[in-house]
This record gives sequence, C-alpha cells and structure tokens, in this order.
Amino acid sequence: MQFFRGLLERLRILFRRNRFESDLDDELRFHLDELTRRNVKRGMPAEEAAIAARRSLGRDDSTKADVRRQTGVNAILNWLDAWGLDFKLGFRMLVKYPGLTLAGGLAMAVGIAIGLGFTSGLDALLYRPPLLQDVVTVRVWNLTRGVREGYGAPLRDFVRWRDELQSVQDLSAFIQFEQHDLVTDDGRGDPVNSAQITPSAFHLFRTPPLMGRLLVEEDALAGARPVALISHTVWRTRFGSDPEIVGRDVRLGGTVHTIVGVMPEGFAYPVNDRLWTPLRADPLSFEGDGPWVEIFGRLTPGTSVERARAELSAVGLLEHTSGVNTDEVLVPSLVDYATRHTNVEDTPPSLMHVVQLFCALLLLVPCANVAILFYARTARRQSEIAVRSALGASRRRIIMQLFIEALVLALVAAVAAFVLARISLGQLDAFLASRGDAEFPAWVRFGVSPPAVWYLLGLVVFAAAVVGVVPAIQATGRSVHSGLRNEGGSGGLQLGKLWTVLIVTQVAVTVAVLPLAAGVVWSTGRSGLADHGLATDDVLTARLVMGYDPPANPEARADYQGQYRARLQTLSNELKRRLEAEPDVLSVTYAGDPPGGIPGNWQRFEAEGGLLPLESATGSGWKFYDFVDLNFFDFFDLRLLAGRPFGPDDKAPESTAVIVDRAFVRDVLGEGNAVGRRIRAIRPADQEPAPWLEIVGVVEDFPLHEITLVAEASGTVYGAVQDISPGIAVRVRSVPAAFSNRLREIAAAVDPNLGLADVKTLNEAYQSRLDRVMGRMFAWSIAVATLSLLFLSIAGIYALTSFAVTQRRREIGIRAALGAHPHRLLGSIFSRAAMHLGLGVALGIVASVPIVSYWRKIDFGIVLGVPDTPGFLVAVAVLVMAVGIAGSVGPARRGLRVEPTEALKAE
Amino acid sequence: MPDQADLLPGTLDLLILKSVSLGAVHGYGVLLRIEQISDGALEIQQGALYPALYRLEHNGLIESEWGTSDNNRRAKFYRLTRAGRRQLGDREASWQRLVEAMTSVLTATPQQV
Repeated sequence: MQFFRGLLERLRILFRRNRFESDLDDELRFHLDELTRRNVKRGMPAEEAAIAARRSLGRDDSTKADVRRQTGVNAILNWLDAWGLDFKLGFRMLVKYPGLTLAGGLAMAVGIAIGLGFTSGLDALLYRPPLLQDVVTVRVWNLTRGVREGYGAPLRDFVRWRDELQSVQDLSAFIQFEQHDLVTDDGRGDPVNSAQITPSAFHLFRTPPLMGRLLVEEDALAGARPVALISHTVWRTRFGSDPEIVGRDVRLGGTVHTIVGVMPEGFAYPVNDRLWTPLRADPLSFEGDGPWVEIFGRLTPGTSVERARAELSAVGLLEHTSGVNTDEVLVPSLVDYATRHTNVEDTPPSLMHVVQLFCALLLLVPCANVAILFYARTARRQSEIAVRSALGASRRRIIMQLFIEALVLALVAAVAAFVLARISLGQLDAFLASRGDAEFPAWVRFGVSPPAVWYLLGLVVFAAAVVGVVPAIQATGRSVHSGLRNEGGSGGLQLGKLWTVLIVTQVAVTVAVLPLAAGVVWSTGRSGLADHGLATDDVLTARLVMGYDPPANPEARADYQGQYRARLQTLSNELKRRLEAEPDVLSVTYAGDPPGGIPGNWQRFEAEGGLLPLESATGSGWKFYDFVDLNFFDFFDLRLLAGRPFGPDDKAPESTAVIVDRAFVRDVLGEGNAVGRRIRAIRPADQEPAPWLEIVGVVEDFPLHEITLVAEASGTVYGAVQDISPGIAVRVRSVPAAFSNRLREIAAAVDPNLGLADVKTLNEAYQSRLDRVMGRMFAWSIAVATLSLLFLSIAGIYALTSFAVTQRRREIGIRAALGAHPHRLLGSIFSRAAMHLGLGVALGIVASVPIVSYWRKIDFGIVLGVPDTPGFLVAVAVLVMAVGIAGSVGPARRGLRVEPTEALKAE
Repeated sequence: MPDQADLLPGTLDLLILKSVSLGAVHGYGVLLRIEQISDGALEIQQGALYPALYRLEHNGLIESEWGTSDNNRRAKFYRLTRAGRRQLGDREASWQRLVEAMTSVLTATPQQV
C-alpha cells in the first residue's frame, strides 16, 4: 500500500513538475524573507540581514536537489530518460529493419488478435446485463438418462410454481415465435421475432414503456381483447414512428390486435424480441399439460440460487399426461438466465483463464519465430552491444534495452491486432444484428471488451518478453566481449541447427498449405454471382407472406389450410399478372424458396431398381427438393440437357414429373440416361414410403444451390409448382433495389393481407447467406494467417543468409583478396539459402499431397477454385523459391561489398 | 542563550513531527518552534529542513496545505497525518527508552556493578 501511495505521489509530482518546482521556490523564498526580517529585528542592517539569512538557509539549488532526491523524483526522471531513449531506439529499429518489422509484426499481430478476439468473444457471451442479475430460468434434468431434457416446463407446472415458490419472485413464462404475418400498410411482411409472454415479466424487467402501457394481467384473461406491445424498432421501421400508434389495430395471425404500447429503444427482452402478446397462463385453455414454456424469475432478495434450486426440486414437476415418457424421472432445476441463452451457463469461472492461457501459448509459436529473427539481428549488433558493455552498461540495462525494442514491436503489433479484432468482431456483431436470430440474445454485443484490453496489454508484455528477453540473455552472455575483439570480423554468436530446421520447416509448411489456402480464399472470397455466369444484377427476390391463424379443431384446421392455400395461390397468380403488366418488369417466376437464399427443403433420394449410394461422392446424400414455376429454368437461363421442360399438365396434383440437375444425376444415378428413371424420397421405416417420381428432364446445375462450408453441397430435384411457392423472383428493367418499394405496393394492392418479406436483390440475398458470410470470414482468416507464415519464412531466410554473411565476412574478404570472381562469391552465399529453400519446398510438396487429399476427404464442400494440378504446386514452389532467393539478395550484396583489407584487419 | 547541543542522527524527523503535532505550522515556523521550545539549545541546519519535510510528506506522515501566514503572506502549512501521529508515538516511546537507558548507565555507581 505504502509502495503504491509513494508511486502515485511520485507520478503526481512528475506530471505536475512545474507546479512542484514553483511551490518549492515560493516556500524557500518565504523562509528566506522571514529569516531576513528576524535578522533586521535583531538590529542587522537590511543588506547584511539578507546575506546572513541566505547563508543560514544554504543554496537553493542544492536544497532543491536534496528535496528531489529525498522524494525519489530523481530516480524516476533518470529511469524515464533511459526508457525514453530505449523507446526512441526501438522505433528507429522498426524503420531500420522493415523486413523484421513487417514479418514479425504481422505474425505477432495475428497471434495477439486471436487472443484478443477469443477473450472478447467469451466476455460477450458471459455478459449479464444489469436487468438480468439474479434472474434464473428453469431447466429440466432427466435423471433416468442423465441428460438435460430441455429448458422450460409445461404450462401446468409453471402455474403451480408461480403460486408456491417463495424463493423466486415475478415468476414469468414465455413462448417465442416468429410472427410471419405482420403485414403493414406498405405491404411489408418481414418476419418479427415475437414472444407470447405473461404480463408479470414486465414487472421483472422494470422498464416503463416509451408510449402507451405495458401488458397487464387483464390482457391475459379469457375473452380479453387481443392486444400487442411493440418494440421501438417495429414502431420505427414498420409504422414509420407513427405518434398515434397506440390504439391502432393490426392483423396478427389473421386476428386483429390493438397496439397498447411501444417499448423504448434497445428493449428486446426476454431474448431478442420485437413484439409481445399476452400469454394466458391457464392450462385449461390448452390440451394436456399445456405447451412447454420458458420460465424465468428473479431470486427473492437474500436468497441463494442453491436455496431456490432446493425449493424447486422439493415442489417438483407434476406427473405428466402428455409429451414426456412418464417412466423417466424428471427433476427441474434453476440456472442463470442470461448465460443460459448463450449456452455458457455451465461454464466454470476458470474457463476464461484457460482460454487466455491457451491463447498466450498459441502466441508463443509466432513469438518464438520472431525471437529467432531478433536473435539474428542482435547477433549483427554484437559489436554495438560490446561497446555499450565496455562503456559500463550493465547486462541488465542491455537486456532492458532489447526488451524495450521488442516491446515497441509488440505494441505496434498490438495496435494492428486491436484494429483487426475490432473490425472482425464489429463485422460479426453487425452480421448477427442483421440476422436478428430470435434465439440469440440481443444483449450480447461483440466488440473488444475493456477486460480484454488489459489482457491485450498482458499479451504485449508476454510477447515482448519472449521476443526480446530470451535472445537478449543469450546475446549478452559470456561472449559479449568477444564482440569487441571481433569488431569487423565474424560475430561470436552461433545460430544452431535448430534454427535451420525451423526455417526449413516453415518453408515446408508454407508450400504445403499455400495451395489449399489459395483455393479456400479464392473459392469463398469471390465477390459476386457473376463468377457463376449468372446475370443477376437485375433480379429482385422476396418471400410472400399472408396471415395464417388456423383453428385448433383438426377438421376445421384442414378446411382452413385448404382455403388458405387456395387463397394464397389466387393472390400469387394475381400478383404475377399485375407484375407482368408493369412496364419495368421483364419476367416473374416462383420457387419454393426465394432464389439466392440457402435452400430449405432437403431430402435423401433413392432410385428404383437397385441400391444406390446414399453417401454420395460430394456429401452425405442430402439433395435440395424445390417446387418451381414453369418458366423458372427460362428465367435463370438454365439449359435443359435432356428430356423435356415442365408443361401445364405437370402442375396437376397427380403429376409425378420431376426434373433433376446434373449434380443429382452424377451423385445418385451414376452414368446412363436419367430420363424416364424413377426416384423417391427416403422416409424413416415407420412412415409410409414416399411416392415414386419420374424424371422427365435434366437441367444444368443452378450455382446458387451450391452451399459452401457445409457437406450437403449440390444436387437438386425440381417439381412443378402445384399450388403455392412463396419464393418470388422478378427481373426488372430499372435498378432492382429501386423497384422494391413498388413491388411491395403492388403486393399490398392485391390484398392488404399479402406482404413481402426479405425483399433483396438476388446478389444481396446470396451474399448475406450465412454460409457466404462465414466463408468470407474464414477466407480472410486463412489469408492473413498464410500471409504471415509466408512473411515469416522469407524473413527467416533473410535472417539466415544475413547471419551467414556476417559469420563468413572474413572468409569472403580473404577469397575476394585472393581474386575470387564475384559470381563465385555470390554463388557460395546463395547456395546455402537455396539449399534450405529447396529442402523446405521439397518437404512441402510431399506434405501437401496428403493434406489436400485429407481436406477433400473430410469435404467441407469447398470447391477449390484454383487448379489442383501438379502444375499449380510447381507454381507455388517456384513462387516460394523466388521470394526466398529475393529475401537473400540484400545480405548477399552486403557480402559482395566486404572490403578484403577491412575484413583482414580484424585478424 | 544556553550552549547549543548537536542533533543526534535521526532525531530531525522526530523534532519535526513533534513540532508539527502541536498545530499546523509552516516550514519557518517549525524552525522557530523547535528553537523556542528548546530555548535555543537545538538549532536545526536550515538546509536540511525542507528535504526532511518533503520526505515526511512523501512518506505520508505529514500533509500540507497552502494558507496565509501571520504577516499575511502565502505560506505552506504542515499538519500531522494519522500515520504521522502513530509514528510520533512510537518514536517518542523509543526515545524515552533510550534516555532512560542512557541515564541509568550514566548515573551508575560502583555499588550497582
């Protein structure tokens, strides 16, 4: 404590040094004046009195120096001066050795960014917003099988617990669902994450509404008027921030609801919700035990979670009448609410430390490399170190200087890492926010967290210690003074075999992974659909939505569904007709899923007459099954390779005609004519087999159906649309994005209940797909990591050659003096670098073969976008050799400039 | 004026602490107060006074504040901190023990041996 207080005091003095000095001056002057006054009082003449006073007090500057010494300011000033010099030197070194700065800095930046990213990511997942402190949720354990049964419990149990539990207050329940049919006046029908929630939850969240009122218990009573509470986002984006929104009626799920209030900006509880309707906690209004609901509540003040758990297990679950196997023992328990939603509720507190330690160890790999480069540089500066040592610099002082040089590099790398982590986390955050996944909590925001910055600083010191101190200890060992002797000759340090092995390994790894990395980067990082040969700049896609609120009665439900489908079909036909009449529209087509997005309907197929491979060559046998409009293939210019296109007869309900793509034929049917063969979807053994379908045509592959980064890569079965296919694609003459509002208007004009969701250009839809975004991030990471590896290898070769030239300075001098031709000298310098490179490249080529084939075997569905021929491997090898040799040009030229007389003088 | 006594090493801090403990006082006042109480027997090397004051302040035994002196000038006043009071107590006790021990040694008679 005393130490820190002293340190603070010193820092205070340092930062207010001028003030400190002027105060001391004032104080001494006051003292001197008082002393003079006393002397005058005692009868001395004024002049003599002043001289006597000055003599008693002593000289100001020596008193001041004494004060500075006593308060430790001097020591700090000296220390700061030395550090300042070291930092200055460190920055100068960065500029003087750009190769090391670039290669070392990039490698360290990548390592630090990984640590920073992981720590910040984990911080975000472990974050518990203030409103959710002490909030717990129910989880049911299946003791018989020893597994987690799930979250929440039947509504019946919720009602009982709400009445009986003492240790949890404001016990609430909710069911999340995606509201697909909030269609607003402008024809927008984008889905809204919604929650049916008990009004008590708003008491727990302690947040007043921005407008109107919250949900209240009366709203949940039987026969109450349907009401809804909306979020700020919905109010802003769907209702144009209408100030008269409260009291307005909207149709939700086919029922008119009155909006009673708007929540303030940022409120998205319980998870990531934008619209709330009351949940009637009355089990009698549901069949059986009622639906399973998520249950949460706040611990009563002073109650521990253990006590609440004990009380909950004492009350227990009721015997279930439906949904759960009654032979199994189920026990409810409580877990933290916030972390349950990020799936880290079971995470031990030590996980963060384990992750941090792991990342630090990971950083050790690039740091060890950079340390060797540092060592080589230090070796070249051996004479400078020896001079400093001879002039009285202690070993500790020299080590400190080298440490600070490394610290400067690490700090520069840390700034780059910070920027890299911030951009990547920002992208991730923006992507997650744009997806608005209902199950992913809104309170989790990815960014560099303040604790992670402390960790970053720790990593910087750690990296600097590894990079700077270890080589410094070795370089300042017993051979320091031999540096002086060898001034102008070869250095006293040695680079062991270990280093040569390491450099050769690095070159080998670079050669081995470069083709793969280039392939991944190329295939996932490609920017647009134009690469697929698709003209997509003029296509707009969307999904049709219409209010759907089926009655509970099974018979009435079937009737309702029939009517619903018929109605949607009529409306979609009408929409198509009106769109085709628009002057800006070239053509319109429908598909089961909006083209461009990830296909949703996957099936496994078998062919008639023989067991065909389920585990196909490119994946696990899952194929995309879509229903498309008759003009779908024309719309996208997909060529028919065999058979016939769909005709109007194929739209009949009894039609079994399907068209398959080439990938399907290759994977499921093998060679031979596919037209006329029959296939069917594989159903589980306990279900009725699916009807046989007859292949009437084969089309070329639709590139948008290719999924990157997942196993189920390709193969499509097309059926003719029979009633409804909610995916719509419109080819327009004008800029497609500009047409989107007009598209919605037309839909709204067809029927106020008809809306359009996810209106995007085809390219936007494709680029914002999860697999594309993840692919791009993956590609970027691979690119940066590989680039850093390549740089490290080149820097290694450079350092190795440079070191060899320093070592052989005398030998080169003698050979030059004896008349050796510069070509021969150059050859002898290059031959060693070339040998290391050649060995590394050869090993790399050998290693790359199993790596690429293993990659193919595990098959992430990544199609290597670069030729995987031996020619490409040779190109990579030549590239690495060329840059390696280029890396050794500098030191070689230095070798040629060795003056024979200078080199021999050292003898 | 009585004969002046030399200060024992380490006693300057004790004298300053004691002087400051009698009430907030500026540097010159510390000097005067010691001279006055000791009736001029103890005279402090003035050059040593300020380094000692700053050291004691740096160690948290005294604290300072700018104020106005009797003749209406700006002066820095020192006051004892809680840690300083504790330190003063300890040092006084230890000084008393030393004085008693010295006195008993110096007043010893052959019979006591």
